[in-house]
Amino acid sequence: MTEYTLNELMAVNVAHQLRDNEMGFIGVGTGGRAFTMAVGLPIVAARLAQLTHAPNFTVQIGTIISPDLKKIPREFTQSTLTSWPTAARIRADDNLDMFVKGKVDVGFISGAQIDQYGNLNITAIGNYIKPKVRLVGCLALPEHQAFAQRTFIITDQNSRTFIEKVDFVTGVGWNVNGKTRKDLNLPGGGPTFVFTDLAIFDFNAEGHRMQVASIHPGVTPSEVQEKTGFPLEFPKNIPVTTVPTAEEIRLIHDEIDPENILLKY
Amino acid sequence: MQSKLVSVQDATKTIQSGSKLTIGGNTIRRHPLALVREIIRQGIKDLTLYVWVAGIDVDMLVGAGCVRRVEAAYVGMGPLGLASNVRRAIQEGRIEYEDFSESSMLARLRAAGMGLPFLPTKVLMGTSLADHASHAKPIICPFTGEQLYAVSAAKADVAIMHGYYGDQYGNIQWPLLRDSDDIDTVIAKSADRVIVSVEQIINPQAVLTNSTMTYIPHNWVSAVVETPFGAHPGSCDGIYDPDMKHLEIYSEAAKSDLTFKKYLDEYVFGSAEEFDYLEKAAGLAQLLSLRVNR
Repeated sequence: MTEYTLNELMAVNVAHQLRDNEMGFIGVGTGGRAFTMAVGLPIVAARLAQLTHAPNFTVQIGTIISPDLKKIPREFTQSTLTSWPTAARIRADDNLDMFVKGKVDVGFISGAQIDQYGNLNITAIGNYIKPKVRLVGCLALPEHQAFAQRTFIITDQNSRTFIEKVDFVTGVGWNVNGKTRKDLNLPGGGPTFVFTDLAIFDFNAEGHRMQVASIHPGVTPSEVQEKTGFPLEFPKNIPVTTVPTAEEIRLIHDEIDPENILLKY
Repeated sequence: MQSKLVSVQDATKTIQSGSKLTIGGNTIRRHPLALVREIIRQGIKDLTLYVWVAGIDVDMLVGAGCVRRVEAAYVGMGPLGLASNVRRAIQEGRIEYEDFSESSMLARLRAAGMGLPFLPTKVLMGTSLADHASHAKPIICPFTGEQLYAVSAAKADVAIMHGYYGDQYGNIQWPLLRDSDDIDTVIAKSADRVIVSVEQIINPQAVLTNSTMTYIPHNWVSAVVETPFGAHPGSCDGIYDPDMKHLEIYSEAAKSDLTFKKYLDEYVFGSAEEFDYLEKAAGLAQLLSLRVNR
């Protein structure tokens, strides 16, 4: 049996969902665990997809368009990012225009709070005007949720993060206060999957509520429900998340992330 | 072309308390921090800041009590996490704050740069941003009938930004290879006056023969200032990396009012001018170690 880490399990499953010729958008500028989820894990997934079933999958990382994923920097600093071989470095204003126009196929996002419709909050916990905990603001999370063809949410799961109703809707999922994406005139495809340390979720066809797609090996359904602040729908026969193959793990260790920079935290 | 080269002190003196200010750069990269420190030294207060993806620039001004209101898409310290002075000031209700997304804040700055009162956007539909924003109002497209939001122009009195190179006339140039993740040209167009600090003043002849590298021309600029390591402790992409050693000192100090006051007393008020600051905050050996190999 192939040994793998939880981050590798998540990265491999993200990779399986990426399609040839798509463009994924990855953000920049975070550290620690947030870096792994928002930057490191999507880069590993993208490169793995390139090396397996989707050779023409490309990414943009901030304003860097189609960087050479054969040459991922060994550390992420200002100078390694600036000198990373890439097809283009466009201006951030041009970049946002293309995003808003719908030219991003897959958006990789994360959040401090998520609800059953995939609404995300990265702005403030508690009252907005005088919050209990003020967070970073918005960045391009509203753009991801409004305009990307598909968004993949990658986050750790606990009952403080997965809650009935987010305190502040920074980015819109499938439904806000009874209004659907269609009601709201949002052109993007909306959240497609949620990848966590416990399970993978998608959204049901009728009400677009979050439902269990698969549970990671060794995790029980009651554990997943316990760490979710709203009632979850489970399929009759709950699938176990696909585990990485020996070849996928070899690619991650030997070719993609040999110094364990991207999945370290 | 007339020389616009002035000292940091003289450039900053023209900024009035109560002004609306916009600032170039991104998170901990290429902010005009020499100008920011001089604003703090001169005791300029009551500022309204229109910024995009901001960081240590806004955090320092808020921590020094120079700011009344912030409108932004982000204020954070990149890999160092949250901007603690801003977080505390919001949680304690000491500043007004209005959030926008990256494209809607860009639209507000663009509207100002185009001389328009507003631009339309779809991005706010359904978000709590729209519920709280005083600068976003629902509108119906007169051509298609679809629902949109109008976001108002964020028109600043003064833009301050840090460039790579410039001549004495205020022609600001970028290098061949740079990090492009900023909206400095939009920010320059949005304000009534533009003050640019640069790493190095270069020979005007070098500008004339490489004119496509000029991204901010002299006729947009009111004053140009030479501030080597003027983005320290942040980076100036292509020239030097961020000073993580000093940024950690900064981030630690920013965690309480008391420790941040000590930080300002030591590094900002305790340095009569920028060369004193650079010696105290880093020293020559540390500064040279930050330079990017080319």
